[in-house]
Amino acid sequence: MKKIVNKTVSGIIEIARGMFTILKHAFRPAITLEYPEKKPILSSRIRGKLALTTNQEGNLNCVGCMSCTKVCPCGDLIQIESSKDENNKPVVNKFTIDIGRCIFCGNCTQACPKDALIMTDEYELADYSRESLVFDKDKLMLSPEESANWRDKKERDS
Amino acid sequence: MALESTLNKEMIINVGPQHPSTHGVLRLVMTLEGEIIKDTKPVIGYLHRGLEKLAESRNYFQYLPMVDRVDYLSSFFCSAAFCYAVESIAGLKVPKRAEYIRLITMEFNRITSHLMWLTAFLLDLGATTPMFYAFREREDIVKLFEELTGQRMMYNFYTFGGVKKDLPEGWMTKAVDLCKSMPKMFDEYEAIITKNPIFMERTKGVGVLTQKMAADYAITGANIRGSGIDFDLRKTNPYSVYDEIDFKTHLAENGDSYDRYMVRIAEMRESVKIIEQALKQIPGGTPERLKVKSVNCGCKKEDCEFCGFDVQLVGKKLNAAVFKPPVGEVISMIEAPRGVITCYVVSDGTNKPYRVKWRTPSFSSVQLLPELIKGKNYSDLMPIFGSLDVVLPEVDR
Repeated sequence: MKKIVNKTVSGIIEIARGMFTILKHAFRPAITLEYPEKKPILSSRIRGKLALTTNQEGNLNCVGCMSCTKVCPCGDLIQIESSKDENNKPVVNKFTIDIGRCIFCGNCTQACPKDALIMTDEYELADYSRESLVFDKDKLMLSPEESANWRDKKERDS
Repeated sequence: MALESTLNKEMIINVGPQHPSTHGVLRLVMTLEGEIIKDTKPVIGYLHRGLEKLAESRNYFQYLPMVDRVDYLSSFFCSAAFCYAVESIAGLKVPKRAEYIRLITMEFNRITSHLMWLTAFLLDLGATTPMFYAFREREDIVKLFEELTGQRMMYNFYTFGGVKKDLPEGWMTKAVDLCKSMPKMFDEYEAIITKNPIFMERTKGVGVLTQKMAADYAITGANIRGSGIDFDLRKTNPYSVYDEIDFKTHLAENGDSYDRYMVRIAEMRESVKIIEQALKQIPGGTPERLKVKSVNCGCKKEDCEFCGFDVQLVGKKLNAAVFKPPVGEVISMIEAPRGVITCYVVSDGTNKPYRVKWRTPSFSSVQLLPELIKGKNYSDLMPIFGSLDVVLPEVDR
């Protein structure tokens, strides 16, 4: 009998202690973010959508060395076709990435010797069809200003 | 008449594959007699992705991001197991600073994993409030990971011979602040959960795992420490730099669900202490200080405090296309949040591994489940299954 009374009393005390802890939270500021209206501040290392940088004339920095395809875990996700022009300089004719199959591991950007393939902070990539997620060269290319911005950001980070 | 004959019959029930309280996809074929569980057969394989076979068609660097998917709640541990294995085949030395960064991230990862377990376990028992509190702290740690690695879950941060990037500026201050505030948050969970009479009634004396049974089924990690067997690879077989850090393992006596809960809470507190020590002891100190000092010093000697081997991030830069470890086989073991993760790698001298084998702790825990719940009420299923901390992708690989 005494045991049951003790158990009940201690149970009530413990539940009251728990309730008091929960009640304290009512007076704290909210920690959630109302997402579509307010967006989180992302760090400079964030691994988002892949993009191709350009130089000041608006040409691709990519030389078609295929380093990115050799470290990509998804096999034939990155497809590059390149040729040489009359000055024996490499020209990339086709550069396709299937973003729908990309796992955003960042291996390709680390393997790139010219900083031509980068990861932007864009992460809202949902779309209605799989075909529209296959990005070609025009869709991946950044403007010269954006590329310069990205280069500044990278220098600040490292 | 008809009613009585059905009541006395054994009934077969399918729990899952998509059950709200199995985190992952697991099917349990249960034979019930009334409320009493007579027999259970776990059916696994719904999340099989063939991670062992995939390794054979990819080179070492291509396989590295996939390793994170073995157990998505503790990605750093799987990466570490694979990296240690490949490093010991290829004979790569890891700098001390990289080892300390690995240790700090791994211990933070242990806390996030245990917090995730806490939310899932208490949701199974019907308590919703602790979930929001635990996710609040998890969010803080995950934000630190995001700043460091660029991703919130699949980090792909370790590489053969070290880590990919140094800590960003201001990261260490944030980590120290978080370590200071975290024990108060653990006190909050304990105030709500630990002595709660409903929680105690449902978990004390339920699912008792005896020492013999634990050893027979090769249970590792917090589950075996809850039964009182002192087995912790960080102590008994220190990998990384755990031998330079002062910490203790926590044991419980009875081996029931409540003890497993207590061990995990104590482990989280211990992890915070390990991180605090590691942040103090890290060679080179903060990245800002290290950068200034190494520019001023510039001696480039091997044993220099500011520009030597130990403060580098990667011991030896590797070319992904031509990285070919010599012929050999090796096993590496890591004390992950759920137990010992073992990675077995066989190299045949080419740039692709010949064989990769994962031995994961959750696989043993699932086998234990039918033994533990035999003859118990159906309502005891979740307190027992939840307390074992099974993550299904890790079971199926």
